[in-house]
Amino acid sequence: MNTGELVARLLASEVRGDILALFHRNPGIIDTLEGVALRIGKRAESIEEDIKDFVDLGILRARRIGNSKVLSLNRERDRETQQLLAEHVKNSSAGSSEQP
Amino acid sequence: MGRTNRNTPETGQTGHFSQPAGTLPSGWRPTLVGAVPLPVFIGLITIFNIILPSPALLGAGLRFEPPLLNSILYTVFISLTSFLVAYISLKGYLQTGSAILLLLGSAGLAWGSASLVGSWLGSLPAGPNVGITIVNTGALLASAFHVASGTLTSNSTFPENRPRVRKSLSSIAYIGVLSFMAILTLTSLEGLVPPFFVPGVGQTPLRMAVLGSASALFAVSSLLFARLCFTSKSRILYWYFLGLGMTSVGLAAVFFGRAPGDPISWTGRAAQFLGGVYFLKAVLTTFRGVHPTGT
Amino acid sequence: MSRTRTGIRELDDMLRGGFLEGDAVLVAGSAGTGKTTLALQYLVNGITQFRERGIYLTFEQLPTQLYRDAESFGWDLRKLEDENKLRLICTSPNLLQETGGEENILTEPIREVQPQRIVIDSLSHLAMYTDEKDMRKELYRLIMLLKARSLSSLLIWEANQMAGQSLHISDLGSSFLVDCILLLKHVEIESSIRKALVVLKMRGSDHDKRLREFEITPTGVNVSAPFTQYEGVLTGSPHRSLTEEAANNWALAFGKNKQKHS
Repeated sequence: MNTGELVARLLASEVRGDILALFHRNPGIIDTLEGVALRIGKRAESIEEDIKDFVDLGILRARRIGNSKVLSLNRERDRETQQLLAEHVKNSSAGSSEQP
Repeated sequence: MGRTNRNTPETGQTGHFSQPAGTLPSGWRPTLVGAVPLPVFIGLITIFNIILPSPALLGAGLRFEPPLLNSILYTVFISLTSFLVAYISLKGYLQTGSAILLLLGSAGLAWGSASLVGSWLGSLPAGPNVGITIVNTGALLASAFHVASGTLTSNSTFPENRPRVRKSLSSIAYIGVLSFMAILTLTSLEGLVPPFFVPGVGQTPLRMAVLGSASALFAVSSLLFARLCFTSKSRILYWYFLGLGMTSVGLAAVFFGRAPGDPISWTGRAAQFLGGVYFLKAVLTTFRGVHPTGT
Repeated sequence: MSRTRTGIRELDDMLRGGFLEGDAVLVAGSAGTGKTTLALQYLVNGITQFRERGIYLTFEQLPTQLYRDAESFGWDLRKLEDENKLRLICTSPNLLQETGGEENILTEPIREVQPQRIVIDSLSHLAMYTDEKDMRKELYRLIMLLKARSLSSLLIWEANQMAGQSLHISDLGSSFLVDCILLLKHVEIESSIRKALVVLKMRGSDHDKRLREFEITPTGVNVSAPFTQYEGVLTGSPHRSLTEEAANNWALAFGKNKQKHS
């Protein structure tokens, strides 16, 4: 997957942006799906697919604690993603500035 | 909802607040009762000064000096009341940091300790000089503190806002006063201080100077606090400035006394004792509520 | 006896050197009394002054709010996290109660940071997710978990009190489970709200029994002199003692502002 596709997938919706921002600004969040939904003012069922995708991308980690499945930020992957996003924005700006 | 703080005045009518404790309500004039003794004492001293013979001719019947009576009266009427002033002033200073109160407390402590120590040492077999030295010097110190305190009431002063510094300053002031009195006592006992009173001769020029200055300064401080009293209409100040005035008159009476224990001497002492009562009255007024019911 | 110092000098004096190491300390107070600030300062001071790492576990406040609040006191929590000396964890209270399996919510942070101190903000939120009849048991389990990890813990409790009402110790529910109780309270004095702090309980150690005033300064909590002039401070509406009131009247009489209330 190239950077553009990654960006498109990460920011496919406003909800995804909210989830990313939540975990990026609060890297210490370790919570259930319901808990994460609550913190961005949503219901669990409305963000389930987005969360699943983030877990597949490796942005979020999912593990079991007791009977609950909890989500947390993969800090290393988050750092990489931030760098990729920054580069993408930089390249996009450079590309657009070359346009007549 | 009940009052949350005693210092917050209760509202009687809308827009009307009761006065803080010790202040006179507007329209209320100080009664003359408290001030009457002043001219009475001055009159008595004048009359006695006219009618009494000179010291050499003063008969033993005109002298009344039972052992310990003077000491007890000084202790009760002057020392204890002055210590109360020192205590309440210290408390007030620790609350507010006002230098006026620190000086006032130092004055009370000086006058109280001088009266206590001096009056009891005045009964020494060696004669009354040591006691007189201590009492009169203590009076001068106390009067100077009073004048300083009274002077500050008319100037802009910045209170000490740091509690720890207030504690330190008050400790230094009070310990300083007590140390001074201790040194004065020791040096007087050792005969290192020039005499104030020579038996058979009478008071020395030094005593007259010290006592005269003390009396004058008490009078000045009385006037300073009287001015503040009539501006602020404070009953506390009313009794206090009268007390200072009584003390001034009492000390001045010594000039005209023929011998310890003569009528002038007792008139002067009575004035000082009444001054102590007035100081006590001033302190007790601070404990009263806000209901002015006369003197 | 080892002590866990707060780094707030006057508070440590009140505690005769600090909390006892490994103790569970309840910090109780109503909204705005400074519990979070005190807790953050406890962790930050632990790291910067005593080289003791810490974990801040919050249920309701997001870490981003804590980063911002700490910044106002000059504490860079993100930097401390980057240095692996601090971890801010935001989770749901019910996760803290999950005990199945080897791992719990704190296992990984404790392994990574190896802290000596921990703050739980707050037990009140935990109580919302726990049946009243199970609260004592759950709190006991939590405290035992923290003690098993040799953590000196600060457990925040939001007391539902406003200034002017007495604090009912029973509101604290399981206050008898903890080793030490620090009470923070708003008091009304002369038409302004001030803050009071008192050590209500400290097992195994002497402590200052006096109520002290404290304030939140630009550098954190500052504990100052005891409320010696007032009585009834714990009610929230103190009044001066008789002597102090008399001294105040005396001071007013000799002061230049003639009447305090006119």
